[in-house]
Amino acid sequence: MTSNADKTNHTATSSEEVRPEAGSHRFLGIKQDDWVVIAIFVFCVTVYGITLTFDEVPPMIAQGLPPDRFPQLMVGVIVLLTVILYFENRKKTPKVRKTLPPMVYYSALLMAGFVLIVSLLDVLIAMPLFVVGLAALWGERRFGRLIAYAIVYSFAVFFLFSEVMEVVFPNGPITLLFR
Amino acid sequence: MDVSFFDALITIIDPYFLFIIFIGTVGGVIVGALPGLSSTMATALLLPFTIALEPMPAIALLAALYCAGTYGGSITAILINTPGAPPAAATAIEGYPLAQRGQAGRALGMAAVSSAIGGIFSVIALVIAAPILARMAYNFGPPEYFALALFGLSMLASISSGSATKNLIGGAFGVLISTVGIDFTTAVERFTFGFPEVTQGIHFIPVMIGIFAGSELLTQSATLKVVYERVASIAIKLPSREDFKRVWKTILRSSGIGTFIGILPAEGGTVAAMVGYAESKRWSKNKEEFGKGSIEGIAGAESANNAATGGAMVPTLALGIPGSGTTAVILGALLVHGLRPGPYLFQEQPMFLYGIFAAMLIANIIFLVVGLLGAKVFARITLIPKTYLWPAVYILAAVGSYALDQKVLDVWFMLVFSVLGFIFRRYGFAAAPIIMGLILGELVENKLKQSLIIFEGNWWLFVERPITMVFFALTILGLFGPAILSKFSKAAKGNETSKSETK
Repeated sequence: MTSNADKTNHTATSSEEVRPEAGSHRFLGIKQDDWVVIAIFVFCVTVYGITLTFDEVPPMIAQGLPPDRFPQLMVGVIVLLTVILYFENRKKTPKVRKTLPPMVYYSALLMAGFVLIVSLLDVLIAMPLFVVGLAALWGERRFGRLIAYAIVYSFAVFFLFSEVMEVVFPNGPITLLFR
Repeated sequence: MDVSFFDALITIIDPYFLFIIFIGTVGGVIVGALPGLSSTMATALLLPFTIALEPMPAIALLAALYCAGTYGGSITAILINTPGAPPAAATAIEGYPLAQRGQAGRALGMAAVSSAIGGIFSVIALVIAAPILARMAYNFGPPEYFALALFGLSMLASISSGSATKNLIGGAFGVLISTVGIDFTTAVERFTFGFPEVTQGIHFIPVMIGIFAGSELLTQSATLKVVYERVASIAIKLPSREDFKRVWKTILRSSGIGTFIGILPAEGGTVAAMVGYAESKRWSKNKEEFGKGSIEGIAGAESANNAATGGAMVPTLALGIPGSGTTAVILGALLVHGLRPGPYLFQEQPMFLYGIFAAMLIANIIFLVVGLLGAKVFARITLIPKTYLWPAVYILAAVGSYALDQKVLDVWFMLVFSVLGFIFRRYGFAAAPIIMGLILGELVENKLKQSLIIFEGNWWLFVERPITMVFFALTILGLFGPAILSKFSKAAKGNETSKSETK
């Protein structure tokens, strides 16, 4: 039995300690928590507006609950709860949230880029590109290993789903070679 | 057909089933041990793979993963002070100080043994309670099911993380998402915006995968610089006779607590672990050890969180109301395989249900053996770099979302809910209530509509049915209970403070 603690860096990016990053509980002079309340209200008004455009049905077919009534009921519940949330927030000290590091936005963009390539080009192009792209973005620099991993992993997933689970992927220049 | 649990146990002791359960168990321990990956996320990611399997092995695989994932979280909680999964948070409080004192093997051994006992205890409770509950629900009509589903949603108010109000908003948002598509009584399209692919509604699989897995990738991208201080892994030790004498009562008590909390709709392992841990402290003769590395604390938390897994399966299988986030995914898997949990399933497919119970029992035994023999190896899994792990997780998430209906639109939904899930989490809205709302939404609306047809539109007839009234009363308790309890505890604390000041 040993008690020595070995400090291990689990990320390939940096061994620096985490620095508390800048953050504020206000945006455009309004508390962040109040922005949440505003966003929910805007969402509810929009959804309610959409429910008004649903096709109308005769009461005989609606049988007690027209198609727009249940979503409207849910919107009402959310509005009521949001009012409660607003008053709860007023009692609490505003929470200071760390400003999001740019890496979050870049990662989200890569995720969207992946889905776009799947939709427009080919899943077998999107998968290795995403693996290499995200790993490189997150600080991986051992590219030989990474590219080999990306190719092997992508093809393994592709064959597992297409051959074992009989999933038909959208046509693309590389996917067609394996059809 | 009169089938018993033992018939199912004999059926499942078959190389194919044992292999499936073994894979689920090892996968669960690995997933549980990886910080950021939870058993909920793993079951959501694995769900598309199970479509190719028969229902029994498919659900057995997910159930085994669920049982073992809860234990796996304790490995990282003890060795790197980072709970692999939220239910292991209390384990970290006691396990890491023990590991720092050179007793990591003792802590890991106690976690494995108490988890297995808690898990086995809850499976026994499941075998006894689920059929009884199902029998009670056998005469439920649409109004009772509506009231029951409403009660399930109300329990979101007391779910482990976040504010009650935010959890309820999340649940209502989930219910709202479930209304997308064609309305089943009138055939009117709702929120489809002219897309024919959306007329069948938004499938819960891409939503679940996005909210649990995709959003976690974004969370991980914000914490790339986090460094874990890791205690060297050592050989795991079975609890000594002296340790066992100290903790056996704690294990039994916490197993009971965990099973009971697990049975309550929407409550899960995290609440169970916290209550089990708090009770082990309250009853302990060595209170001063708590916070500094108490073996009783580990036993209390671990037996409770694993007992909650079996407990949470009780309402899921007997009533179709998920007992936790992971069981919501398992409920989704049952629906994907064309099975609607509830009393009829008990009557029509008892072998299937008892088979799931048997699989959970075996999974608890397997993870005890695997955990004891392989803790050193599992501890090394935490060394997998994020740069390799998370791109792989996202690809599985995307392909898994696509695989079900083979629609690229589902991958877009997964992406949208990944981003939404991340935003929700940042502003204190937990993921589990949204998924529970989504799963229960269809049930709530359909049963409400059926009830209104039965009642010819007269809402007052709801209150004339005793079972419905009981569930409505429980719903009110579920909604306001936590607030009332917190007021009472604040008042009690205030009294204690004023008394101590007077002294």
